[in-house]
Amino acid sequence: MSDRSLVISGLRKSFGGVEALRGADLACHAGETHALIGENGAGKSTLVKVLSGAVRADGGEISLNGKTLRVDSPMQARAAGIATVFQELSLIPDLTVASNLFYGIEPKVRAGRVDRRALRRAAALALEGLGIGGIDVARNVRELSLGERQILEVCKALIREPSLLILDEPTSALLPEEVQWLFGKVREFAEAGGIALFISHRLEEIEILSDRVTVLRGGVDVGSGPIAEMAEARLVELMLGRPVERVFPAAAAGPGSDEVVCEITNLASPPRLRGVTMAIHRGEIVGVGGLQGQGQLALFLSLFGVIRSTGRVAVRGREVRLRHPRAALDAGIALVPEDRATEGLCMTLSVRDNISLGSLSDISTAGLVSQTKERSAIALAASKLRIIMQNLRQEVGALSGGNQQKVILGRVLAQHPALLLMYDATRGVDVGTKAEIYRLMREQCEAGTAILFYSTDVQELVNLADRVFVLHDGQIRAHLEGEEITESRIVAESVGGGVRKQVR
Amino acid sequence: MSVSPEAFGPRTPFGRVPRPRFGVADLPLAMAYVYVAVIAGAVFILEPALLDGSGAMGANFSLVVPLALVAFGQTLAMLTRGIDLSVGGVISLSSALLATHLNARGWLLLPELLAIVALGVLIGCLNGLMIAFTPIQPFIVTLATWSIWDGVAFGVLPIEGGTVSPTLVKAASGGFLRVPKSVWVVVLLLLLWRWLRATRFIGDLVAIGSDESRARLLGVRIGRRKLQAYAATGLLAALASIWVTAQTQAGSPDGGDQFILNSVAAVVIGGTSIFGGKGSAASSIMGSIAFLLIPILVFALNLSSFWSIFLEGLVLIVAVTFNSIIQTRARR
Repeated sequence: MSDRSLVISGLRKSFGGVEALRGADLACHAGETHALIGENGAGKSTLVKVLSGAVRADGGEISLNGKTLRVDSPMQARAAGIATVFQELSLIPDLTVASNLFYGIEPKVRAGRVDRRALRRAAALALEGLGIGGIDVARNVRELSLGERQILEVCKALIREPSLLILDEPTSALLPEEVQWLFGKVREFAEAGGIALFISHRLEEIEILSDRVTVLRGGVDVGSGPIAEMAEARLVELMLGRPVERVFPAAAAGPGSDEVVCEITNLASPPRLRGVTMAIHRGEIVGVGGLQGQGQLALFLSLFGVIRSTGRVAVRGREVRLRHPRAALDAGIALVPEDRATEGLCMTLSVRDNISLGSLSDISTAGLVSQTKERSAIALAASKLRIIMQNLRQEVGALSGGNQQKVILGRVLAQHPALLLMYDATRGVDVGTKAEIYRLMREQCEAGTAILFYSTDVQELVNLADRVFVLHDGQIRAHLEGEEITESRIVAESVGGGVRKQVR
Repeated sequence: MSVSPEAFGPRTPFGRVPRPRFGVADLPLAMAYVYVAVIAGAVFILEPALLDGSGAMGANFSLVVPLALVAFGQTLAMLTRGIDLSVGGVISLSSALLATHLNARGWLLLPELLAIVALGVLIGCLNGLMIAFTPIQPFIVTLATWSIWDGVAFGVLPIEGGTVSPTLVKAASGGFLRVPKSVWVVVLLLLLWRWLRATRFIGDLVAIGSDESRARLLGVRIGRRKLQAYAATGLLAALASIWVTAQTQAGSPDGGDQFILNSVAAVVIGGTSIFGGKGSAASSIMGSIAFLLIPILVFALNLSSFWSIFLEGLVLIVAVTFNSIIQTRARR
């Protein structure tokens, strides 16, 4: 074994009785990109947190470049040459780009004061050196888009010239060419003798970028080897602990019914959404695609009555005035949001409360919640969704990401909506849970619900949607049906006009 | 929008160092200057003598000094998404001590003043320890300590009065280089902020207030920084007390209480966010001036003095509404 390597052995960590890591081993060598994969709750994030000093391990050993490490704080991790690109991003919204990039390693500090001119110059030069233009280093990070922030998070890690670079889901908000840029940087970093640890849910990315792969399941490593020797099916089998035939459910038997569930006419919410007209039929899955930030969010929030909009929306023939989410819910429109933590769930409430919150009126009489009705509604939802939890009283915040998403689905489905809106609902969710969410979507459709969903994953649009609308600049740019729904067609319509780029 | 594809193609020229731009999000911090200009302008039109009459400037600024000092400290606490109500207790206790035990004449006064300042720092440190290392909210911690130190102040000096060192009274009055000392203090405070705002200290406070868990990932020593912020707030409150006691020439066991809400008002009018991460002590000082101009305006308008309390509330609600609208827009 070479001297320059990261060796983790027997790493253990539990949170309040839940064992997230149960003696995980990992070995990565200098000059290689090592992928770490596993379902949500497999312990990947915990391992990243331990390595970056965000949480302290209960046991086990970490050695970097031959030296045993103690990583009790982010400071120690940084001193040891570990830099992390966090999934949740570690940029401070109210500081400028320059301050964030060089936080703690400012180029010129005298008497505790930072020379801001020198700082801005260094930041501009560093970004230029990394091939990034067009980001004003004097702007506050709060004003930047998610994609820009993700790129800066990568730049911030690279500027620290680490010997170990950890990337936790670094591509979720990136455009294809930005992903190319990132992969190029990671390869350069590894070729220069660094160790790159790459965590992703997208298996195709892992196959492109990494040399070796380690699979985590239930807090231990269950397989490791060169990526060339690990076929995709084998990886999925290792992750789930069982073979899966297919991730996406079979396509619907025939065309949906002609009954229009929701008719949207000229729906607009300037400047993001500028007039969208579509009809969604009973039992139909309609996909919304396009580049990020082309009005998809505004469309979904308008339909759910969160933001004000003009135009006409009719559900089952009756016009609805969407001035408040309550009005949308009453009309039978439900939303599964993207950001579970801030939009979807009350993290400190129990699984039970979170599920019943949405349908309190169905299970209450005269304003009081009926315990019996509540229990049966929840038991049904929980069993149908296969939520992995200790019991229904467990706090939602203690569940893994995929299970949290299932709790939201449980709540939404308990309301029996006519139109189900799903806004990038599978983002950051593992393959196993994704497959279950897809299965549930199909089941709901067969039961007569119409689904409108937006996804950043083109594969989902291709495999799930009966029809796809591609949005651009707040308007519908393309309406694809049947055979037209292919990955290359969707990407081409998203990027639009002149340049037709092949995704990845 | 994501990074434009152009970002990866033709690059923007990097020869010039980009300058910080003034964005919509910075508007709240600039508004305090507007409030000062508008109210002072109105007073000047109605009754110029209230501003430029003999000794008017010194007298007006004499009121600004203590509020500006406390608001400066309050800004530090609020940058971390905290608040310090105990400034009232610090001012009351210091004032009581200055009017009873610590009122020597001549040079002996100096170590006594240093003791007062040290007391302010100590009280601030106690707040900081509680806030940094227990999960109790700053509001509750300092609500309790405010009451505790006010109680001690009443023990030291049961009623308003006592004897203040004439040396102190003399030192805090008059002018220097033909400018009132009170104006000098305010100018020094503004310069202090200009120097301080580029320090790591303030950077860390902004990071903590903006997102504490991310600040921890950046390696910010959160506990230590909070401790320092509240220690500084206590120190500034003690200085404010020394000034007030010198001006009134008497101790007051509850004289600090008015400074609690007034300092919060000044900071908020100044545009500092109560949600942390965004603020400027210079703007808070301007907020203090705007706040204290209101009674002068009411006087200039020949209105009954209850109108100033009414107008203070009105200005506060207008400022807060404006700031929150801007901040919601900026956060989108």
